[in-house]
Amino acid sequence: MYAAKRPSKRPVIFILIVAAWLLAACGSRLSNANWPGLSAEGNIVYVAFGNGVLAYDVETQSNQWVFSPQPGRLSFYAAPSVEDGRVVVGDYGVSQGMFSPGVVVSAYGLSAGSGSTPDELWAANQIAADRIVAPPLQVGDRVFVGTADNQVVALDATDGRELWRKETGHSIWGQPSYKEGVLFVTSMDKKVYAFDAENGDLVWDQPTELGGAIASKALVDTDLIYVTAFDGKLHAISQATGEIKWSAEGQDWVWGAPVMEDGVVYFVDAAGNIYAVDGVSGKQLWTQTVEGTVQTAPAIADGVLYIASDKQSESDAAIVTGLLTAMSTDGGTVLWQQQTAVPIYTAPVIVGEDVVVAVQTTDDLLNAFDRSTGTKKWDVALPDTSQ
Amino acid sequence: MWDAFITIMVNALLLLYDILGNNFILAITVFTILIRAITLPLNLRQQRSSMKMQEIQPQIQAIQKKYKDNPQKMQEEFQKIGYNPADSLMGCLPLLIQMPILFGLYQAIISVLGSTPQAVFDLSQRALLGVDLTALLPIQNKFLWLNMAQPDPLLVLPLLVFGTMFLQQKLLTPQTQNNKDNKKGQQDNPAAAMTQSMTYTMPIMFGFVSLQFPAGLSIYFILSNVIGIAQGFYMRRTMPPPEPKKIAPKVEPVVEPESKKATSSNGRSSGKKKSGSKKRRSAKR
Repeated sequence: MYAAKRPSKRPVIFILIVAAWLLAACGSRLSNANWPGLSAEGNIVYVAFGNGVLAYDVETQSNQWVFSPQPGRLSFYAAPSVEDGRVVVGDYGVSQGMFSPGVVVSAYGLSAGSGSTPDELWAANQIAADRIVAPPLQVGDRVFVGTADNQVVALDATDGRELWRKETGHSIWGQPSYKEGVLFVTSMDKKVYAFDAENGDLVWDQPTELGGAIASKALVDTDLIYVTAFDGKLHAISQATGEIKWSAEGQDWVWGAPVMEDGVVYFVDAAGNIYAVDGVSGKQLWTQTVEGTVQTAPAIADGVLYIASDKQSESDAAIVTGLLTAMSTDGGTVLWQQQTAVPIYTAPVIVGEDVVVAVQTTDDLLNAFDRSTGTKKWDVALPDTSQ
Repeated sequence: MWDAFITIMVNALLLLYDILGNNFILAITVFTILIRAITLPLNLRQQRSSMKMQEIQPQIQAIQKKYKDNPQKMQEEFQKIGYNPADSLMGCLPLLIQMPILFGLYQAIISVLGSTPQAVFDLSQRALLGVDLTALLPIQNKFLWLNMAQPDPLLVLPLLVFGTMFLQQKLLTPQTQNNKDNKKGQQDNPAAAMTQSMTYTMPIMFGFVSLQFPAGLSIYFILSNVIGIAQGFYMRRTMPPPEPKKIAPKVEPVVEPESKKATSSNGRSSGKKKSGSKKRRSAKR
């Protein structure tokens, strides 16, 4: 009887149903994942990662607050913007429901409250239809938010009211930059835009697009802005016209924004090459290399560059850890290196005498090292809300 | 292994995107046509197998009833009428083969459209030599009101997924099963009932999950269904509905008088099928 039983299609249908559900269930996680966003003001480090935003007091080594409005549904990865204790953060959006699949993306204004959660000053709901990847920028009583659905939105920083919005050619992943009433916005469409910060009027958009997408913010100096791109170059662009003045060559994609000290601009490409370039002429002063892939901007303070990268194990290529390198701006001498359990893809921040990096192991979220010696000083565990 | 499969799909999509003037819709279209072309022989085989099954279903049931306590004899009788149970599994093969393609395409679309820095970083690790990712990025993810990496907010694509898949299922279901006069036959025939239920459950299921799929994947489904519809029309033109009467006598020698009732019952319903088919054909005219 069994030998002759006609095979049923039931198992196939069951497999199809399970597979389709898995497809739908796993998909949103795939598309929403990113690395932590890190920023600091005073002694407080702010981390956006997973379900929430965390404020950590370096001095007292304690959590100040955790902001997690919809655990399990809402994710935060863009580095929070902090200005005089006011924190502005954007989320990755939440689906409106099965039969209304549009995504609602919001920005929030927060301030430290008395308890373990911050006071929510305002929430600007439906600010975008796609994620906020770029850290917002606060200038006085305004907040400028770049979104992954190509918009740059100006909000009132006190109540979250929308003041104006403009569109670029593609996603905005870099934090907007500001100088004297002009907002400089980089876009993945390979162009930089200058907007009047007051009313959003376009001052200029770049006459010539760059050779690659721009994933980081523009560095603003006296007359020039410096922009790095996936074309592996550092571009110096006129603040007045958007004209490219000169470009300094790298060898691979540049993910992180350039940094500047004493008239010298530093940038790091994905292959781990560090370049020191004269900020006026674009002439290369020196170059150095660190091990691994560099996917973020370096931090700079008092003549030292702090560069985060990954590091492949020599014995097993499948094992990848992280590496933090302190390098002198005077010729690129390596001062110290420290290994972390996982790759570091978030820009380090400097808090007092510490350099802080974000990791995302099952145990740690933050690691702090002594800026001078590289000695590990403290770490912070991944809070439940971020798991 | 799976990772290598995803990498191949990602690079195929990137190459098509490059060749087709950086148009992601066109890239998905050509990709879909290629996938359907690769699986076409399997699909045709499934259809032929399905139609053949439908044709000899009354005899199979009669044999199953008569020899339910004698599997060996049942097998012998099955062989006589040219039925091999394993063929039913082979008929499911195209569906099973398409599942990893769907999974792979889903991940490939998410990867190629790279809506987060991490996704683009992963993409940069996957791009093979010959793909100039620097020039290709950013991938144009907007088409009309759609963001290819996100579900359609207006629900147009899920409805189209449902509609096209329903039509495809209808056309690919053997014609005898579409006969409304044959309800009793379907009750006696669980396989036909199952196929009939798939006509509704599959479109509903895929339409439902399309609510959460990236628009790019929904477009793949719709295009794939449209090609399936064309294939269904082709099958209907080239493969006429079965003529059960010609086959029925083959069963006679193996069916005892008691089970002749079952055979004749099926025979009657088969007769209705035929007349139903005639009606349909004349309606077409």
